[in-house]
Amino acid sequence: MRWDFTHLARRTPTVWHLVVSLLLWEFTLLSTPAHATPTDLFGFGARSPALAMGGVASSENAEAAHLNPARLALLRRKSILIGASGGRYRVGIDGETTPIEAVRSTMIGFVLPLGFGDVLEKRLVIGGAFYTPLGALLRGDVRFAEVPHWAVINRAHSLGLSVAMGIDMSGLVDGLAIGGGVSALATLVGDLRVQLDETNTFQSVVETQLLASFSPIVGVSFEEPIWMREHPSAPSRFGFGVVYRHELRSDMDLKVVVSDLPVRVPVLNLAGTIQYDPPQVAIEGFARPWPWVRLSAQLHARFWSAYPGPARATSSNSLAPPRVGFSDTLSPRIAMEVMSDVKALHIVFRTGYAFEASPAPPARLASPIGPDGQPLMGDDGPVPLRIIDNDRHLFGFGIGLIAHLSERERITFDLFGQLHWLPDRTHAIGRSQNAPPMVSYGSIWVGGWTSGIEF
Amino acid sequence: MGRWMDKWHRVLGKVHPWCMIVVGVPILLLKVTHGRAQPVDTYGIGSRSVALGGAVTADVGDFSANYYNPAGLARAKRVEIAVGYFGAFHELSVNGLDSNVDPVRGLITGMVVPGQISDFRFAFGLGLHLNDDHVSRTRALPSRRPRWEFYDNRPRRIFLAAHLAFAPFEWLRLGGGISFLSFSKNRLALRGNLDVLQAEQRSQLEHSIQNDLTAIRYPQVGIQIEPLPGLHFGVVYRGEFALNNTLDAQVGCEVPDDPTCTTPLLFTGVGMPFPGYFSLETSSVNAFFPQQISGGVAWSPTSDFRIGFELTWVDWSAYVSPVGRSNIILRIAVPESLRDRIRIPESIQGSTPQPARFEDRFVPRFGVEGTFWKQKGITMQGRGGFFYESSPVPNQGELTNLIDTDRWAFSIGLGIRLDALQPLIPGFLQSDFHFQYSLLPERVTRKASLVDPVGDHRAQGHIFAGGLTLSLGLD
Repeated sequence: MRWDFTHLARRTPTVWHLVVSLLLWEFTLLSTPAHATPTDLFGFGARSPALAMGGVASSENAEAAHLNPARLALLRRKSILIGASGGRYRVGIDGETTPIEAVRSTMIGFVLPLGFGDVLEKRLVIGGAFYTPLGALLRGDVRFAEVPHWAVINRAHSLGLSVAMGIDMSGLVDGLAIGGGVSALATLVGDLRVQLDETNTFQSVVETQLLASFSPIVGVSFEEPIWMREHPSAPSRFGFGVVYRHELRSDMDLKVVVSDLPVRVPVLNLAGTIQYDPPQVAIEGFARPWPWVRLSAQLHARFWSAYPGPARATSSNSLAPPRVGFSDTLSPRIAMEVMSDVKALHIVFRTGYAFEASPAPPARLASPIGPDGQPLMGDDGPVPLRIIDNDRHLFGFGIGLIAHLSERERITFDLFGQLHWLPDRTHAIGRSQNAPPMVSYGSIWVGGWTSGIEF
Repeated sequence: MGRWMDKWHRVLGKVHPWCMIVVGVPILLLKVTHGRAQPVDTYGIGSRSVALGGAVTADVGDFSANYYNPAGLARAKRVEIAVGYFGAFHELSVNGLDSNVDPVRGLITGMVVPGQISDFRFAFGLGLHLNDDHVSRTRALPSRRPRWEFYDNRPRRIFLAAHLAFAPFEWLRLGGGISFLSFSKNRLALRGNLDVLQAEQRSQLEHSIQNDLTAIRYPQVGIQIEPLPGLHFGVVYRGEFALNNTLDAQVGCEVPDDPTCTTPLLFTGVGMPFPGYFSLETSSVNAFFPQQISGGVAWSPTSDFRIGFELTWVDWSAYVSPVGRSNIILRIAVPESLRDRIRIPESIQGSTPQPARFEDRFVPRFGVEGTFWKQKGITMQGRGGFFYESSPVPNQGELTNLIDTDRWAFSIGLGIRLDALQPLIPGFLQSDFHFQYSLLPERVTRKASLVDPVGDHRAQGHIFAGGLTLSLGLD
């Protein structure tokens, strides 16, 4: 069998590529009742998820806008990336599966080297990574404290938007790049007023606003300078990267004022944090012991202790739900890529493993919070707090194909799969008042693909 | 200010006959108007295109093609990144009283990234208008409350569009893509104790929220044809969308003794607690954007002069009433001893939207551009444009009070392009400025009922808009 992509390119390469990509897009979105996830849970793109969310030091495409903006600076081709992902949750409590609605998502990314000259030549590159669930872009699910709720892994329905710029610092420090960008989410605020109008008819006046909330991302990348390599076109043999992503959250704050009813109703403050990614730092290094193998290791710290919890007090004198008491986590990741060339086709096999410790304490009895901000004891507390979460063992795997159409133009295709295994966890309380301590467990399967044109 | 406005009214009153001669014939024949559902649809995007009155469907080629005609993206020969700022200020009044319609201000940005693989030319484009104050705002008002239907709330939302364009032949360009918006669905549940006498101080309530922000993707496709050098034709189709925001609030248990109900509500503070139930459902369509088709022609007899004309059909008859629908249920099992103090009505009437009955209309647009200075890598262009939108809103003689008038919009603009910036910028740097004035002539609404709580009213106004766009072209 002969792989002749140059011949293919002379015919209708982009149309062919586009048609295949769109067919795959439709196939993934229509056929998989998958539960898509935000980038903080499963990663963005197809390469990073296959590496168990690695790539902070070695990202090679638009994924860098989310993973580490500094890596954008080392990309020399314009590119457009599209893709789709989906998954399936099988999590449960005490033998009963928790129904979590499936969701599917699309991914779009781009890389754009800015063609300045002089001192800015080949220095600035901008990129974007957009992750959009089909259906609900952003889903909030703030439940009563005693209702079992997978608060960490059920952050699935959320938009992910990252735009970033990388700056190549070669010349000052060869091999060094820095970058920065922002991720965005939306906060919903509004007022609902129910009152009588001049004709003695109850009318509702609703005004809601979506406000953008931005979160900065900054990163640094260093890899083996060209002058240290065996020859200028050889891949770097080592490198590392550091990235900091600030807290990204989406809140809802809806005030309800009901007047003219026969009974007085306090001003209702229907508020909560409906989406939350904690501040986080990731440090990663990679090495190529052989030209066809790349090994990487990462430490990823998430500062979950800043999480305020999902719910707020409903009125000025109502009690707030107990504090969630999340703790910071440190996740180790390791990954390996094995590369091979077949004619004009470059093939990469990928695999990775990560351990994602749960930030949530076990479901327990906890004291609600009084209007003065202090936990209440006595008759008003404690109450059941059933936020459910487990440790996760993440196994990633995938394959990447790069077909060179010419010296500059190429098309890429990447596939990935992920298995998240949630070992049994026994909580401090049961599902109901007198039930034995409950046990939560489960697994999550995620899959997806991306396809890109680089030119 | 008022005297100055009156003077303007008198001046424009004199100008009207002249305008009729120049552009009035098609207006008289077609009774025109235009859909306005977002800032871009009301005020345009990109200073050059706005200055040309929006009559650019046939030959637009910058980032504003993401709205005017995505096929134009394929004209780009180099990467173009644009960023700018826009503001519109309203002087709208009803019965001589200022309606206090908020200004619209926001960032605009976009990019065009051309590419070529083998003989296949394509381009990718992004366009964004982001208001200063919020990503979007929705407002559902009672049916009778007067509101400037097209200016009060509809422009207050984001415009975000991504497109792909191809040029299979030198004379043909095709483009399409999607724009994004979102609407919200909210489900709320409350439970706890509600103190009848000291509601604010002693009530103990809890809530849960299920909130979905759901994406709307509406299509836009376009074509540009250049049969002869300098002669351009273009057609674009924009799809319909509507934001249907819903809120479903349940307080208490519908059946008081239901053992499966987890959201009991008890009224306290006056003897034995007694149960209650309150349900509110509201639904309102915001920012309905009708489908529309725009066709235009542009002609450049010389490289220094360009003139364009355009006509837009807007499917306004599909317009969905913005008046919210609400259903309210209140059940309180008031004890016998308290029934003289707490009187519960047998039923509470909600609201039902009235059909809007808008009509399809057409919008003519006209724009002219000329180069008046060109020397040493600096090019300066002057621009002017005009469009007319008659109001699609029928006479509001009955219950509703959707206020709107015709709109005459005049725009001017200036473009300065620097081409000799090598070696740092091997492309161009361009600044475009625009100013747009819109006259909304007086419209009188006479109510059918003599005891209508709003009564007859006169509406009129002016809109002043301006902005600048800085574009960077890189090889």
